[in-house]
Amino acid sequence: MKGTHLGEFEELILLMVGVLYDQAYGVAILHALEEHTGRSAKISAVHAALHRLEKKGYLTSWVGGATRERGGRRKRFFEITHAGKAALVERRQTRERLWGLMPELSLQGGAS
Amino acid sequence: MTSDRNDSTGPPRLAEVWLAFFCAPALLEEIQGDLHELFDERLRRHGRLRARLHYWWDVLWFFRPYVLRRESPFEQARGPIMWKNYLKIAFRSLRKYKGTSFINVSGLAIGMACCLVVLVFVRDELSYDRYHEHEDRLYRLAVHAFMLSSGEDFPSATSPILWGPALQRDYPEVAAYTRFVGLASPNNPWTLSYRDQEFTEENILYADPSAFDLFSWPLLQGDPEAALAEPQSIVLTEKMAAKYFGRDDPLGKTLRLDPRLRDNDGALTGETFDYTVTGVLKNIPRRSHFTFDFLLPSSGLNAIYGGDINTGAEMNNWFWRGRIAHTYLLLQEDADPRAFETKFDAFLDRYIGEDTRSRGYYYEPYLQRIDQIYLDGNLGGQLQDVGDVTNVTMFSIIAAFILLIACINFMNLSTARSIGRAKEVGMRKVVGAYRKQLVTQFLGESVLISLISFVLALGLAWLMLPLFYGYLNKEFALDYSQELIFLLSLLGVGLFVGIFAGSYPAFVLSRFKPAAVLKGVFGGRARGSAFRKGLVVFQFAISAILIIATLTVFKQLNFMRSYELGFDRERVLVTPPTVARSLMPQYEAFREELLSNPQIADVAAASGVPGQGGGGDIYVAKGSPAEDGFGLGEVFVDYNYVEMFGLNLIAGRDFSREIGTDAGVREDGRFVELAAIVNEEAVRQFGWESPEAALGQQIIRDPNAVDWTANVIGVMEDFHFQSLRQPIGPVALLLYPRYSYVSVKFEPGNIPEAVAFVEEQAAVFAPEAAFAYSFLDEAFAEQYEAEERLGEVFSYVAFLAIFIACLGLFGLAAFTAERRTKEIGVRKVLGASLADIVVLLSKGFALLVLIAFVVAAPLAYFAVDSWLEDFAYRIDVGVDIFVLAGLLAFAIAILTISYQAIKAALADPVESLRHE
Repeated sequence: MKGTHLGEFEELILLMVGVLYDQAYGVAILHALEEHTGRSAKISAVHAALHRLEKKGYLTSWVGGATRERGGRRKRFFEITHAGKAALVERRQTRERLWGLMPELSLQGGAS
Repeated sequence: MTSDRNDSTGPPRLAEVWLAFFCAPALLEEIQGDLHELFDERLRRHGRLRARLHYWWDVLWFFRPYVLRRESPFEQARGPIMWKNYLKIAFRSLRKYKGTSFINVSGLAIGMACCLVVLVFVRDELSYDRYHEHEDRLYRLAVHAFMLSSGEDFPSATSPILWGPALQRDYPEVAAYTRFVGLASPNNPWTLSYRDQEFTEENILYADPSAFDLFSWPLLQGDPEAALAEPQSIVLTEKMAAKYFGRDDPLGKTLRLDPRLRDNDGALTGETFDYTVTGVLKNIPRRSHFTFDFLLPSSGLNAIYGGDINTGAEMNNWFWRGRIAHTYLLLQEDADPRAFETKFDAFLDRYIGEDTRSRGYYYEPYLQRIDQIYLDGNLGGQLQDVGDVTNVTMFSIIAAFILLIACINFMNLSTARSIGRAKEVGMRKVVGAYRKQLVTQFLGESVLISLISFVLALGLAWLMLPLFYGYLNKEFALDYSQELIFLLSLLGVGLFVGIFAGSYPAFVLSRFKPAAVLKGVFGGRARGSAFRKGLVVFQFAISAILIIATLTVFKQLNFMRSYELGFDRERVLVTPPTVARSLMPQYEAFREELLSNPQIADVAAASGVPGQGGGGDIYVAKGSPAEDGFGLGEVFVDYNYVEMFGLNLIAGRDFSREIGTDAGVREDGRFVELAAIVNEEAVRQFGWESPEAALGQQIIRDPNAVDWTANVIGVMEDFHFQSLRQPIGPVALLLYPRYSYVSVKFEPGNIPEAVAFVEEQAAVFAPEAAFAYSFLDEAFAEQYEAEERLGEVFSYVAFLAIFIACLGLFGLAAFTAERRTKEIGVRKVLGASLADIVVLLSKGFALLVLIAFVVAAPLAYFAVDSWLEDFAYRIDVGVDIFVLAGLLAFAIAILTISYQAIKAALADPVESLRHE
């Protein structure tokens, strides 16, 4: 099986699915990503990330009803699973722990 | 798809189709949906063009592994089981339709065998001289020799011997040169001996020491730098080393060379030479445009030509224009051969000036890269026969066509037969077969058939190859162990044919609608049969072209053989120079002895015999300026030559022993005045008004040197002194005793006995010469060997093509008759006669063959007409050939069909109707 490692782009997508709650589907996620992070991605990249996250068990999906836009085609909506939430929380905790470990000095000095 | 919009405002259609093609069906809807949503948004914001471009861009990026369509796990698991079933069904249907299977397999096997033979041949022809290290900058210096009078071009592989060193001195582009000169020839072989073993050899070349730098011929023994440096050294091939020295070490051994010839008085003049072996060459690869057995150092030529062949010191000017050497140039790595060629004009001006133009010709040298020489035209003076690029292309095209005809059979019969398998297709579809699976199944079947045919074709090709090479007069040697990769690539031919020929039936079969098929209704039959008809027309058009070509070649051949040549060639025995020259010292006695036999009508000696060409020189009429000189063919003859060959005199008289002046005038043993009989063409070229006006004229040989003057005593009718491929040129018979051939004319009767008598006498008068002879009419026929072989190859090919096409027609007719069984039954019941039904079944096919012929005729006309243009004396492409070919093709086709038609017409209607 694939590893459960969460890539940086995948983490963002996962967060977006969380942000969008029950309106999380391809185009919406693409737009949210652009709006909140200023990052523009290709739609195929978003689809690929969603596909991978679903395989890793962090997302689950269902197909919505017929729509009036997009030629009547149905949308696939995504939702974070429990494992997905756990992965996000763990990522956040690791980050906070590391922030806590950092001496004040290194923050004030600014390496750049 | 997008039913709610039209194409102009929608996303690019092609992109959509492509996406639907590669995308897994489960993912298609969401991906398409998202893409459309984005497209609409962009359409509003950026306009149509950008939206469409962006759409394409996005679709391209979706081409990722996880998106791609793949077989479902269910299909994958079922694979091996179904394959077993496909194989079983394939063999069953092969067995069930034995006739069709036989036609398919044998037709394909023959087609592929032709293809394989030609592939082997083409590969062989294309791989000459590919072993030289410097092949990309090693060139042969060839020469166009243009005649000023006619503008004709005589390209030649030979060049003057002094050009090579001069080019290297004058032009930095030339890194090195090497020259080969062959003085021994089949007509004039040399004798080489080691101790008491003596052999005659003809493949002896003089070569410059640089030969081993330019050509990659490895020396097994000896030093390549020094092997040809010493004047009396000789380098031989390992084959020759074994022939002369067996297992002994050849290095340092001495070979004695005897190049002496007997002159007209029978004396051996000249001397013998001893050569020391300084090197043993690995045998020269067969795929070389020339090979040899011995190399002698070129420094030996200095004595022969009386000067320095490198600097030209003390050499006659003739060596700047006489083409006696084969010159090869190694250019510098950065030199451009085409640019270098442009400098030849100045080179010729510097060294030759007007010397050739004043003699009626001029040179245009050019360069041939070594790996291209073999197929770059049959120049004069080649060291060995070269290949013919027309053969290569012609055979490739023909083989491809034959294979195509066989493939068409396969397609036609498989589609025709498909009705028989429609129920199988229906059943398979009902129990859940995908169309793709059916395509795979039928493609697999055709690949199977083509592989079976391929195995047969390998066997056939193996049998045909020696025959084919025999026709080409070419040695056939295929080392299978060296050709493994090539043989494997031939397998590709088999696979390709299977897929190519199988694709059409596979798609037709898999398209059947199960419900309709199982109910017994077929759709789209008309379209399928139109396609089949087109294919039949194509097949027969090719066959008709081949038949017309064959008939034309044979007609031209017949024309040339029976052409009134203007001389008598029946029952004339000719001895070659080896025998004739030995006979010369006692020729008169020999002649008397032969004439004492009543079976022998006449004996004549000459420098050449009619029909085979000969030498010539520049002549000018006395009183005309030297630049009016032109090349006049010369035949040195005896008194009775004219009578013996039945040449017609139209003015003047024949040579006569009674008239003393005919014998000529000698000064210091050299002839200065001769008697001559010229032909009508010569009269025209000298500019004399009539044959009578020619009598008493004097002509001068080589206006600059004035070798001799000849008095014209007679004029003869034009006759074909050379092959019919050349027009009749000006020729003179000169009474001058320099003979190479003795011709003996027999009375009708026991020819073998007369030949035995000649041989007996020759053994008495020239005991040291091995007797050899040929008959003039046979030798004459041999000139057309190339055409004859071409005709034979064509007739075989045409036979194969029409045979395969008829196999297919036979199968199709059988199929049609079978499908119309019920109709025929009903017609018979209602009173149709046998003839009615045969006509009913045949007329469709007969029409196709007619259409094919109409298509083929103009194409064939252009093809054969352009072939005939090579002949100076040619037939016209007459209507007769076309009528004959048309009737032939038609008759063969009708015969093929009528067998099936009659069989169907004779069937008992009760049998065919009672099942209803």
